[in-house]
Amino acid sequence: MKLSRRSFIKASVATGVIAAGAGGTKPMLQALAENSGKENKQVSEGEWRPTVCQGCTTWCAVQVKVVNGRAVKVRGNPHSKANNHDGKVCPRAHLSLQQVYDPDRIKTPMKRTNPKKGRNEDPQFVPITWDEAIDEIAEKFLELRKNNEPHKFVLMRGRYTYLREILYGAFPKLIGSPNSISHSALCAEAEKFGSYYTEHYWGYRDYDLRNTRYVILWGADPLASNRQVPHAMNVWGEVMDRAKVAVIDPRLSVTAAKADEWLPVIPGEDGALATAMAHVILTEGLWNKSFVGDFVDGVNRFKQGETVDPETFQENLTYGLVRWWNLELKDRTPQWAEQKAGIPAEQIIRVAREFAEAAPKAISWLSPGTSMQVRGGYAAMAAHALNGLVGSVDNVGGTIRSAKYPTQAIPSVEPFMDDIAKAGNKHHKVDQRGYKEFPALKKGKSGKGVVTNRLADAILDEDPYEVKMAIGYWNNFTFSCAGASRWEKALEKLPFFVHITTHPSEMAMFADIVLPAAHHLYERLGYIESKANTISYIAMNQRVIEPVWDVRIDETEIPWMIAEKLAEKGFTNVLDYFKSIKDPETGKTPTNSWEFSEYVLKTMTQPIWDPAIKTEGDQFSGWEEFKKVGIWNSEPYKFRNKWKDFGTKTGKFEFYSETLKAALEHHAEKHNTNVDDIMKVTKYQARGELAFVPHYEEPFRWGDEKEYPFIFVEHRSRLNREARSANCQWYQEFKDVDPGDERWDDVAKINPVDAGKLGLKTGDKIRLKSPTGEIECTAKVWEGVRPGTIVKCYGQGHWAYGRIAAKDFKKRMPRGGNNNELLPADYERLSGSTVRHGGVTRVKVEKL
Amino acid sequence: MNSFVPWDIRVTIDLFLGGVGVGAFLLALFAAAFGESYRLLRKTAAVISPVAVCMGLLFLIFELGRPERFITTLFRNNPASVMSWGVYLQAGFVILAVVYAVLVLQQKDEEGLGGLVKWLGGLFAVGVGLYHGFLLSSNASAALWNNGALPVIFFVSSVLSGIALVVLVNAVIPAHVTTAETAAETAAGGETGSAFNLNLVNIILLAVELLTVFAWMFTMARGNENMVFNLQYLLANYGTQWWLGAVVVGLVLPLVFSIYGLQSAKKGQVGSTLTTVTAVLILIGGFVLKNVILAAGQVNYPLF
Amino acid sequence: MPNYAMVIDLHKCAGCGACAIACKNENNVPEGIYWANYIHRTRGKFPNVRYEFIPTLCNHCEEAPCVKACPVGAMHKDENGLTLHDPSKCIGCKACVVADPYGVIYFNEEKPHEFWYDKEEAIEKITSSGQEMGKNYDVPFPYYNPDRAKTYAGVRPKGVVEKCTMCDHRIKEGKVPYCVYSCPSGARVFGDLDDPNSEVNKLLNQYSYFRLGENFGTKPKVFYIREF
Repeated sequence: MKLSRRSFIKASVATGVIAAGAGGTKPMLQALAENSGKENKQVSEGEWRPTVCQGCTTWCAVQVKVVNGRAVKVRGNPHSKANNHDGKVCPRAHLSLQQVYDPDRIKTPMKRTNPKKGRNEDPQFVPITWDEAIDEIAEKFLELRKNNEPHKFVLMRGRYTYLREILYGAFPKLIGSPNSISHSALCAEAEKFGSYYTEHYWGYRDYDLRNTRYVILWGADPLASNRQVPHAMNVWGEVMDRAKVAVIDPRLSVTAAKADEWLPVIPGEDGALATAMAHVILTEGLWNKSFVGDFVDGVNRFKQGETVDPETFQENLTYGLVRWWNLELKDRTPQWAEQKAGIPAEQIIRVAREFAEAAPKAISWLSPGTSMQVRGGYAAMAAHALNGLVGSVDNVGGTIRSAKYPTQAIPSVEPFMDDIAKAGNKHHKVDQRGYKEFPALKKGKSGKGVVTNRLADAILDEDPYEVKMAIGYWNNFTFSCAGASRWEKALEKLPFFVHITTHPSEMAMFADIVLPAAHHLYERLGYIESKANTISYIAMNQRVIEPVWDVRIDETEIPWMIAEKLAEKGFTNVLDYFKSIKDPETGKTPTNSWEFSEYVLKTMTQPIWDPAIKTEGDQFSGWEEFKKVGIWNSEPYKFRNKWKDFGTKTGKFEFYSETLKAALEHHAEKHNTNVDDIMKVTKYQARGELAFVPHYEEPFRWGDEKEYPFIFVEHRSRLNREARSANCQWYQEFKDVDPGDERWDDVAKINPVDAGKLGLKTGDKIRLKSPTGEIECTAKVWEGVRPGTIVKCYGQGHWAYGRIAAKDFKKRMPRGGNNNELLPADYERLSGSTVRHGGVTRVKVEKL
Repeated sequence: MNSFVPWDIRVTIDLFLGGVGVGAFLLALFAAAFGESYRLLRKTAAVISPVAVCMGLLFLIFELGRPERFITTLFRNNPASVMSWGVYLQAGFVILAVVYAVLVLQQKDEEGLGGLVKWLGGLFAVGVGLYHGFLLSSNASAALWNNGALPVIFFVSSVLSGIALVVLVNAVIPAHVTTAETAAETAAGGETGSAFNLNLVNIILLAVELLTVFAWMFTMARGNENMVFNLQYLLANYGTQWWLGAVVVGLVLPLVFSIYGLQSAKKGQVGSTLTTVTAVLILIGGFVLKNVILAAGQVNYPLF
Repeated sequence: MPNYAMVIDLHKCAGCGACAIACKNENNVPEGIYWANYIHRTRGKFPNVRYEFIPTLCNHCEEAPCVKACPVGAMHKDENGLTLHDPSKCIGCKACVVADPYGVIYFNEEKPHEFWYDKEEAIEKITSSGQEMGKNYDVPFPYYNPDRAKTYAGVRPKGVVEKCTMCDHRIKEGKVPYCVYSCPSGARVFGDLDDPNSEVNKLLNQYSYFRLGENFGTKPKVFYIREF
């Protein structure tokens, strides 16, 4: 193939012309200008430019090699001390090349001309200009405000950066809507519940893997998915040389395949294992005495079935151990757990013993698998509580948090909110958070957590009120939410929906206006905070190539454009606020959407790059250097800082959670009832004080065993860029890196014993039916699956998105089946989290 | 398991037609020892030989990814490559076979140049016939091919097919049908002493082939993992073709018919229904044999 | 002269496939063809199941059957012990594909990267086509890696074979093959067998190893140590 050093400026001038029409996008890279007009036929060596990968929520700092203005390769950012040492990165990052240059990307803003909405309706999109699009959107906002109902606007946030403070934070408030609805409940919130109501930490944990001696993984698969994938892969060989690894997972994941112990738990019975392990640790006297404390006379009174007098035990850094034993643990024997969880008692005992013997360098690693269950809140607490028993909390070789991130907030929007905005903001958030059956007790407060999936029902039932307009960015709830068909109905009903996205996704098909988004790895400005390897870091998304199409940055450029339009039409508050965010270096006011994006970024990260502000961690001489390096690393984690006060109600690591008690009681009071009633409406079995301790709950499942004989298990893929990568050829070509899966196919994995009974062999086309939906896919007979369960990976079954993700895009035929069409819309209500694990539904299989 | 099959039916056709050409040429030489009465037989054989090989080569050329580069094989060669040897062997053979055919048609094939061409041609014919087998058997990766039986199977099959085609052509084209006397001689032999007996020749070749094939199959069945796997694959995926086509139709039935023909002078004449049908069966079976061995042999056994 | 080889530590290998994907990227490998690949197998009965994964690539055999089979010398050994291919000589006879016991050589039956010549659009006037993307960037496809063209065809044409070259274009510049570079767990080690102090030799002395297809007599140079 002839290679010519085409002057890339030609292409960028073309896009620049289109861009200029709606506010001027300034090319980030001046270097390109040098190339115009040169006759040089040599191949350029190219340059590695820093940015961020958001293929999963590890959020790695990466670099892109750019040759002649084209992105050619991706690697980890070698400056990272956390995840990406020596430029390592997981397989997902490479797939992004096929995303950004995907021909199925949306090139231009488009408008629906077919007023009917539905999966089988052709939206009949036509291209429109940015100006037309923004104009229509602005008019809709003004209309809402004119009728004093700006709260009927909803902002749905999907994949974001910390510049969300603008579109997700400030913008709706200024318009007058409290409805900034994030997607967080689709993922991690139930997990955070576990660590909050024990050690008062509402967040993902980091783990000191280099020093640990035992790791119990509750549904976690660090070699494949969240939340520190490249680091885990990098050190896991060492970890396994030095530590024992036990994986609790109904399916044989890669981490389980390499582990010392695999505990293929019956889905939803994790709480039995956790409580039984705690029982073993206590009855055998293996808890960490220096952290937890001990019996005053040193005699172990933890004996099966016997209550213990709390006075006999002197607790040190924990609270409520004996009460926990008395209320819950005393009868939770391994033999009992074997009956419930399907794991041999001797294995439970062995894991518990060896885990405790490795104390304090023993990690109990909680993940969505064990927590995103209808009754998963307490399982999450139980699993995390094991860390308390061995004293690995905030300790060397144990489970830790992050360092302080030295960023600063953007100025308050309060002074810019007019009366309409203030009144609008007073309304209850539309996702029903804080309702009696949706306590959503984030950080101890009733209704503080989002209940993302409830938004569909809120729209359909107009409860608390009607939703008239929505903007969603980098989300695809019609695909990614359990009970996906409700979303289709909700979006059919929603009168005006704007979708900011890169591809013609399922959600986009229901939109009135679709705006093409800048790709988060290649084409935008932003920053993220993350951590691994005891290092916390902040890395910057940067524009490393000229955008492929006429795109805008979702979180900053689009709100700016809307603000400009609103100001033209007489409502200036939003633009005034935006203009108040000036360049920290020059004090300049932003004059276009790009400058605005840059100034917001500079403002928020100023403590990092500005030498005049003293911070710990990496030091920079200024903004330019920070941009060039692309990442700030913190000092290594300072262990045991939290020991003097964890921040819980008692200041200790709580086995009996006074923190949770206070939160539940407050929520009950708010609804004029008691905690037992709350337990009832949130589908929990516990009553009385059991509600305040980690305890066993029976799994809650949809469908009766006779009609639906198999428990449905779903899991993540190590190639999923959050279900956006199914349109990449490389995804399909290498799909079998997920153990048991097949290339170019979407399979349901079935144990040979079950397959034999059903008369199925690998390759048969089947239909899976749950009480709430059905999908079609291919059968795969595989031993890594527990009999009585059917295991299927999430991420395929797209009926839109693109021509590879869908089997036939024009006919809306999916490739495989979307798990979310099988899963019912249920919740772990205490956290507000959506449920997709714990065997929430049963299914039956039909051969096609 | 890699079941991508790089060499498809076009390669079978090349090997088959090449083999027919080799067999035809050797028949022509063999029959020359039995005197003038086989002149017609030898003409047919001598002409068929280069034509068949060239037709086969045409299929081969178009099977190449870069057919236009075929000619480069003449000046780019690799001493270790059997295919490279094959280029020169087939080139040499085609030239010699064409010259021989011309000489035979002009009845100048007995002395001088004819003698040289005869011997050289015979050598090249054997060379090409073995080359087909070595092309396959030189691959350690192919358990079914990598043994001494394979070249014998292919060579003998080639000779059988070559003879069969010549007999078929002679039976079908009226002008070339031998006289009743020569036909009887050709078929029955016996009383006429040194007469060439088609049925006897076929019986010997078919018997050798059947024995070799069964020896080969037995060795595969009792061989190492790869051999067992590949043989099972062959029987599972090509079982019907193999047993019915290659073995029964291609070898067993012709053997039975040839034995019968040996005993019945009339039935066993060249040009009789029996010998013509036998020739057709040999051709069909010979093609199927080579095709199945080629296809089944290219499946790689799982390495891990 | 060096004799290059690779050691793959299966204990460190996480079975993620980053090596195989990165190789596709580095070498502009078309869909359906794999220069770097892997084999996985599942043995046993639930719950005593063993899943194993081994990355594979061309073994650059010392007794390379593909080199022996090639009639025109397109497939050849170089002075560094690598098995390389010359697409300007290749006639596409596929003797190498047949001779190779490892299945690492692929044939370009069609014009490669057809995806980037396709005119179909998902939504007319709204999304693009493979062809439009290709034209915009004046290279075979937008993320085409020009480094590959330094020593081999950047994209191979229809009718010839292709396979792993151990990133000879990178080795020339003192870099390691891209699969080695991209492996997140550092499981792949590249080096010179003839250098007694090389990392590969240290590992081969320290650990017991196996190679694929040792019985074929190929003397392969991809060594596997430890267990997945």
